[in-house]
Amino acid sequence: MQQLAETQMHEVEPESVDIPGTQLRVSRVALGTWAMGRLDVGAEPTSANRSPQSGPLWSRVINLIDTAPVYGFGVSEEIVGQAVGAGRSALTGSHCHQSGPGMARDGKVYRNATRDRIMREIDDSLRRLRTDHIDIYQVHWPDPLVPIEETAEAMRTLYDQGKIRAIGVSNFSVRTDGALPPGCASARAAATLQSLRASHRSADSPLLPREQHRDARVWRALSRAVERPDAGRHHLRR
Amino acid sequence: MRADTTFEGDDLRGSNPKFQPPRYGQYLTAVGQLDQLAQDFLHRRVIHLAVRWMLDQGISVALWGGRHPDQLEAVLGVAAGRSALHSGRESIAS
Repeated sequence: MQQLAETQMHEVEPESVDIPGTQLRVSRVALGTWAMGRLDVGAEPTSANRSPQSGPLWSRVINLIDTAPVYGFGVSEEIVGQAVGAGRSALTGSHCHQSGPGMARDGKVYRNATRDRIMREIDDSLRRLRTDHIDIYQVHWPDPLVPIEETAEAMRTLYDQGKIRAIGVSNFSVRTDGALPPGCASARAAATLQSLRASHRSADSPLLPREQHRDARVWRALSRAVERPDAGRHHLRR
Repeated sequence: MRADTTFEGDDLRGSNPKFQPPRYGQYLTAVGQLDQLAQDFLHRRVIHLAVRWMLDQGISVALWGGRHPDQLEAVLGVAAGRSALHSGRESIAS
């Protein structure tokens, strides 16, 4: 892979996409940082793997980073801040996409999208990220105990203060998203960014429109191989 | 990950059904076959095929997660191999 990177670096022209309602043009592959801050998804972290030393390499094709205070209770944010924060201008057009407020610690995770929590959490995040603003700030999860209007108004305040440049939501249904008040004009824009867990979807999912036969063939091969290990081999080799 | 990889302590995979028999082995087999397909037809690895497939479903952005810095190196192959993955996939489909 290193060889690939060296020989084809000059060809690299990362795909990007405009986020409607914002001035942001972001890479279509973004860096997810959940695992970086977690102790429960793999090996014990070391000083080596807790610092993204390959920053200059991946930053050639990625200018969007997704992180959240709940990822390692701040650890992911600190790693991102260490890698990008102060040098954000050095990484061309680097954007922080923060799945932000609504989570708290105390030994366990729970939703908290109150105004008080949001106003406190933004400053904690900015400090860990070593930056003065976050480009896209999303409510991480819906909080059924807090009126969406309260959450939205708090987000609007952060927007007016210049601490965040766009407002979004994560893990909301489209219907809930539509309930955001008109004051959050940019709310839906950032919501177009959605992570996808293909393994949770079936072959009948809307994710796979029937007309996409080319993709369907690869997908069927995968599905069959998962269902019956011997069948997949035959299909792929045919 | 290998078939004999064990997930210990508070590793979430230890209790995730996707990482338990028989599905775990079936997934590994499928990934191995797709990796061979990607190498034979596309001259890329399965990780590039996976991201290419995901982006082509119409979503805006795919998140690339990693725990170690070297797990980010392969991301360069997605951009560099875009045309190869597209043209190669055409040949598979035809």
